[in-house]
Amino acid sequence: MNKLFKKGDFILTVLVLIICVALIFLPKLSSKKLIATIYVDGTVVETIKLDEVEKPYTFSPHYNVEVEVQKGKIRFSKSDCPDKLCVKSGWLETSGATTACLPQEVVISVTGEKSDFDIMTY
Amino acid sequence: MKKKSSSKKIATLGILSAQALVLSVLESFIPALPYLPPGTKPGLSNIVTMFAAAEIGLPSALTITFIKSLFALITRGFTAFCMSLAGGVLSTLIMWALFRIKSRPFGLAGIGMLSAIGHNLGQVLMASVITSTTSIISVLPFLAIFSIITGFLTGTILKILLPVLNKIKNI
Repeated sequence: MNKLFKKGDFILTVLVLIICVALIFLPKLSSKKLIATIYVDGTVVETIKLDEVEKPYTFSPHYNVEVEVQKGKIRFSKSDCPDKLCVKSGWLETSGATTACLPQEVVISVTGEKSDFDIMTY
Repeated sequence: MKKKSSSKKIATLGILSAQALVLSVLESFIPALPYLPPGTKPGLSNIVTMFAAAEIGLPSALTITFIKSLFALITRGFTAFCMSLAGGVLSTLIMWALFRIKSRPFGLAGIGMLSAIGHNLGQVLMASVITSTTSIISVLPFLAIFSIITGFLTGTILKILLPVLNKIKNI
């Protein structure tokens, strides 16, 4: 009664693959200029044009979190959260790349220059 | 169908929950994978939850899910608790609903895949709520592709382990 594979599984897999690949590559086709947006608790606190960054620098958008910015990329460099998943995410350097430090409620999101549908306005 | 005494039910659930917990602890040693959010795991403990959703019932499956979340609360904190609960509940509900469709269009692999995607969806939504932004949703396509593989894996292992798990159920 509990079969492993059925016809529906195959169709489902193909469907999911197509949708996901489309979702991943569609935004990248639109533009190359990268902008990093940093949210703290839902509010935009910083917008950085990553291509215009000359010298690498770090700053702290929120108490216990440090963000490092270089030309074309950005990352969490330090955090006081227990998991440190945000720091482990590494460099964000492509459009659509996003990472968050949930306990501190800080989100870094990289987007292409053409504004995308990911950001919600209140 | 024999009616099980409630202490036997509790014992069975206990064994299954313990299995789920051990699997999730073992998985926590897997390092972060590229292009995926760190903390992404194969979800082996869902083998147990899927079994419960299929063969025992929704309340039991949800209990196992809740125990996993409580474990996350104790070992990793409140944020982890919310994330585990969000992903787990959605995933379990999807599993149970799919098992209830009489025509069974999907096999174990497909159900594993859909519940894995459900798990990721629940967690991404919870992360959006916690951070009050929606941009984190952009990781979903990557997670979903990974879910195809992990869902298949979970379904396959469940298929292999069915006789063993049934023995536990019929104690």
